Amino acid sequence: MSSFKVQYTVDGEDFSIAGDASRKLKKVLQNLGVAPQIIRKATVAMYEGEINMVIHADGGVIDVEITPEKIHIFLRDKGPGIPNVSLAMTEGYSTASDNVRELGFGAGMGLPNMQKYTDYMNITTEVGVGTTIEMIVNTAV
Amino acid sequence: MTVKELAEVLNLEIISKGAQFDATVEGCFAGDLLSLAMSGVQSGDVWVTVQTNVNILGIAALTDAACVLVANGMNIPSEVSAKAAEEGICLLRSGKGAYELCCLIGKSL
Repeated sequence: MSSFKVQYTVDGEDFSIAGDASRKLKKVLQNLGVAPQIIRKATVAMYEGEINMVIHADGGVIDVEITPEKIHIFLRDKGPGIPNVSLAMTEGYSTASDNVRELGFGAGMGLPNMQKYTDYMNITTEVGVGTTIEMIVNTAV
Repeated sequence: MTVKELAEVLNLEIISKGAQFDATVEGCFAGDLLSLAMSGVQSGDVWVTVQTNVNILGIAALTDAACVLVANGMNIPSEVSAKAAEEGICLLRSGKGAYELCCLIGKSL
């Protein structure tokens, strides 16, 4: 395996299919023979990012590049941006609506989980413009 | 103990057998916040929850849960039952609460 690239478009209006991109990535990684514990890290982190796109940003685009060394994930949205990234990274902090919380989301664990399950994460955000999150999961077990 | 055996012992209602019905149950996780479940449910776990929206199926698939066990007899929308069957997710239900179910599962494993 040299390099494998996939792109997913996340629909911002349909909660019923939120997580589909992460499930598709899981199948891709399984087919490529990536170790189960690495697949879990990548899919947990991507699921949280995907859900955030649906909750906060009206969807977006996810690009994933898989190499023998790492899984490189870019989440790009044109949402409202994150005014205070360090506050958003605090476990338990959430700006999700009550409707979203009733579904079991909005616990303020999304970004912390993304950091916890990745080996590198960088957030680039501008209020009113959008957010790009880069994540890397190393594939060495 | 397999999911099937657990369902018999605990007299669980089978909503969808899925692909894991004969799989071995490895453990148990209880919780209703999806992010906590996403990071807490381990492969082969019974996930006990009162959440019944369609997103529980995504969590179950991504975490390789043995099954989702809906507690307190919560209503499961027909589209969720149908999607569980379609996607091969084992979905069970009990009238008992999460604490009682976890105690019973703990004794059974």
